[in-house]
Amino acid sequence: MDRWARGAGPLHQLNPKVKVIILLAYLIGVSTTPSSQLGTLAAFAGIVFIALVVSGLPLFGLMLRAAVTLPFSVSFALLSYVENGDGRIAASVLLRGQLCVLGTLLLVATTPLPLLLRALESFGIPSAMLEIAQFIHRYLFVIADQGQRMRWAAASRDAGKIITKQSLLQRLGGALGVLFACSYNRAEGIHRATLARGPKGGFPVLHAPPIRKLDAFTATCSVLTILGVRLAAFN
Amino acid sequence: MHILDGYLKPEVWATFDLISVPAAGYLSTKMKRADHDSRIPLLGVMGAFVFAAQMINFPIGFGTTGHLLGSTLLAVTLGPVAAALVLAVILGIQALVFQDGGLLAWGANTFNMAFCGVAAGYLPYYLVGPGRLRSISVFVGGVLSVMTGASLALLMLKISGSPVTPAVFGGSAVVFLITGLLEGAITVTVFEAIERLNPSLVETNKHNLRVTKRLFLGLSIALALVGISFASPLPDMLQKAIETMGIPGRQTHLVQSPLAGYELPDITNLYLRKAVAGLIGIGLVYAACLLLSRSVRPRRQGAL
Repeated sequence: MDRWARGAGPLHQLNPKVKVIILLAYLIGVSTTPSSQLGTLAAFAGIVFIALVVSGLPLFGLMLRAAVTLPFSVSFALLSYVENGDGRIAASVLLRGQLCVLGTLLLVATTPLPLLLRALESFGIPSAMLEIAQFIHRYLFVIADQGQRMRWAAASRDAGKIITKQSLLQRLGGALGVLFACSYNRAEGIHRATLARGPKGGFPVLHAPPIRKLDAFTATCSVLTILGVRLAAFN
Repeated sequence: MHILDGYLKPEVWATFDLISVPAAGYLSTKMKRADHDSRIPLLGVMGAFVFAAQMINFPIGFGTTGHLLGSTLLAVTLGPVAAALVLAVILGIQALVFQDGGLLAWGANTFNMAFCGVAAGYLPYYLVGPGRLRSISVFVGGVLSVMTGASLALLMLKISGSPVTPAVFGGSAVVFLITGLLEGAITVTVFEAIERLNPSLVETNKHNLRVTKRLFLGLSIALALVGISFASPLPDMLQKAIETMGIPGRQTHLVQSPLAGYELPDITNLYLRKAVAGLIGIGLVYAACLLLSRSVRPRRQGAL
């Protein structure tokens, strides 16, 4: 995902704030569409497909990422088919969920997380939450790697033999406890290092992209298109 | 348990976004005021720990795997306010990056898992306090946090007109119970391991409630939970029973509540009506909780 976000397609160069506004308009449009209006949802699918093609991202890879939620959506659609006996409603339940997922994916795959957080900050999200999000993003893989190394160490000690369920649970608890304490110590170290450098607060970002005329134009056009599609009521 | 976008009705997700966004803002200002920013790195790294712990799957039999969810663990180590804030942020990242839950449904998911889940997970620990029963209270908290979050999510889907039939509800309840028991078991083992490693990492509740007050508080909360769980399916079941018994047109309300059917009479717009009624209901519940906590709080002599 981070690799995709570092690309240089036309959607990557769009201002993050503008992208957030467009995504919100799109999500609200899709999720307020009633199940009976399958045509409107198809039009939204057309919009998101055009955006996917324009973005220059690997189409198959993105679809694969979006398929993560398919087990949930498909079972939900099946349930609604059993309940209502109407294939159109079931199809729109499935389509609505997947369209929202694709739209969100498109934003994250074309915007590096620090820039996205900065854009969210200007929308009034508390900076404490965004700083926590930044720390999570920064240390997620460090700690996951540490967990993986502990796992390898454990596997090489007992050659992967699992004796009983109880001991498995206790070993897992112990390992997670150690990981917890290590993370805690790491956090204290980070805090001391930050204090030593002199904390400024907020997000240090190298350059904040300005809102250009092109951004404003794209935002207006996209929001108007979404509004038009939502109100046109295709059937 | 993470609700995706497109499955909730607009009035449902909008209502819960309107609740959760200001609540998260309030929590973060409270956090900043209390700790002078010093805990922000800690909260971030512990959030990363929860993510990493969720990646570690372990076999639980029948070819399925389970993993730690972490809300109770965070609540008993960092304290409930910090835990709720970290979980709210985690839910945001999951919605954005991992397609786990929706962006518009963030408010609903945060309400279910970060606010109510943490409250339910922390409550037994808070009520029991230090002593022999503490490990059991952590276990019960783990079970409760999963059950609360999951059943609230199901309830929201049901309100939104999703086909949550009794069969679906029963099946999911069994799954949630198993998940909850697992969560409780892992949380307890991790909690005990942390306590052995470094007792100062465990949040100690310094409050000193008397046993009777503790009992009273626990009882009132249990009563409220039972009341809510009965109130939600009862009208439907009653109505169905009356219809199947062949007495059409003679539906009687047992109690005429001022917000019957969660609708106010005079506002014409349906969406607005339901949303306003929901907000008023929540406000009333909040006021009741506030009054209850005022009356239960131990009074100290002299200046507070």
